[in-house]
Amino acid sequence: MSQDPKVKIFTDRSYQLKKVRDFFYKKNILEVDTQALLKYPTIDFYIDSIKAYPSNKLHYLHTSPEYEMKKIISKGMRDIYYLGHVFRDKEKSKKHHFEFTMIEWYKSDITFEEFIKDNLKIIKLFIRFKKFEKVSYQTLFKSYLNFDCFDIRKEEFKKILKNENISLENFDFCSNEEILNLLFDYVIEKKCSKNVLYLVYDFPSNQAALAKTYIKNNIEVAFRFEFFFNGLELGNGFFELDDEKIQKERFLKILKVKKDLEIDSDFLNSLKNLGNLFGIAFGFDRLFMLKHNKKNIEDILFL
Amino acid sequence: MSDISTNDIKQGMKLEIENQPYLVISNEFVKPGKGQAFNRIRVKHLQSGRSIEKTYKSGEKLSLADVQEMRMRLLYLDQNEAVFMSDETFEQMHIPFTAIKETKKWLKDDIIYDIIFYKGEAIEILPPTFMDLKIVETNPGVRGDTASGRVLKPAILETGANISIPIFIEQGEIIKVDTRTAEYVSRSQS
Repeated sequence: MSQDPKVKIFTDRSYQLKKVRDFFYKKNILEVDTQALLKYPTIDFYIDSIKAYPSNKLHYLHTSPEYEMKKIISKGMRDIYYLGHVFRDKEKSKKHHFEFTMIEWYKSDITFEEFIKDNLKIIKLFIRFKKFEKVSYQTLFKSYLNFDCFDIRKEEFKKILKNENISLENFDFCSNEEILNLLFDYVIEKKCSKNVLYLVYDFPSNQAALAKTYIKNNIEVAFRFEFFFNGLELGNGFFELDDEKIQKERFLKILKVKKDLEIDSDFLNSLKNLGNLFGIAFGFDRLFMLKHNKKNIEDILFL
Repeated sequence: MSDISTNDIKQGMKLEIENQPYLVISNEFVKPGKGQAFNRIRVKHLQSGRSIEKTYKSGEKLSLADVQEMRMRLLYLDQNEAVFMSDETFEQMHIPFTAIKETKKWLKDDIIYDIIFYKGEAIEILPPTFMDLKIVETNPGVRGDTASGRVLKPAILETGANISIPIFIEQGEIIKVDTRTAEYVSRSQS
């Protein structure tokens, strides 16, 4: 009987999952198997939880294990990882799927440099890159689009979008932050060199999400970082915010727009015990797509 | 017409953008992990064929174009218009040549055409891909000119279309034509 070509990919998926688990095992980082079905949704402007109704009670599938993992960390189990499925509503494309596999891990009392080194090792379990480059969010926009992303008026975007041949409808309803995201996806990801692994850092503070912020050259920036490779966003990391009050303020801003969400107070309470903590989440499937040189995520999923 | 969310727009759908009818070529969902999602939609104007790309925030609503397709049989040609009839409803429709444009050279009585209507107005007439048509004018070919029969000569078909045919085909013969390219396919089999 001839073998379905996907069997080869599924077999390799098994090996890759083990390789990742071996990596963490050797570093004495423990796997946590958190609940996927939660009472509270993810609170994010741009990420929507999928709703589920066990026993007719509204629940949400986790969009990442972050809230649950931070609760565990606050209770004293400090260095942990999760390797499993997460769910995101409305996200479907060649690079997105409603259900995908995430590698998320946290390490306490580590320097940024050490944490990045560990993450390079994880990425190397999947791909080879010819060069590793660290570049700030601001520098990327300066070098590829020639403007300062921290000092730009909304009106100026009109010309920039036109130059890039992007016809953005309802411009007036897009925030500066959203237009920066758009330019990042449409222009910068494509202009970045091939086979170079990029680490982008120091995001605008309004994109901090769950990261700490700090002042750099008189500007508040988010201590947030992302890996990119050949036009794919691979992972997003934070120097984790441990200030309950600031986190609550950020959440309340989101709740003004997404009114039906409710905040998990246990999660907020856990933040004060986080200490110096770095965390990152990788899309396992994105890394795996690269390893198998596939352009469509469906080619590597059990579908 | 009804609205549709950018998330539900699929290839082949017809949208109305700035009061113009467009056909969706592709719809790409673009989203950073922690950022606004956008839909990058490529559309082709139903009449001019010109394609453009538009970016929308995901979840925005667009209007579906009031576009309908009907199969209709050509009854006869008049001075400035063609008269079609639906075989199902027997409804008749007078469509001016100005709306028929390029397809005019493929109009033949009793043939069934796909007619695309936008807001009730015919905007495009699609002929069958292959048509059997009579040659009404061509110069006599000199037999034995070529062994391969590849050399072509101009001809006019009964519908008025100008095409190139192999030199061995004579006036009065019926040939099969590909209307997409206006190319000779073979002698008529029917």
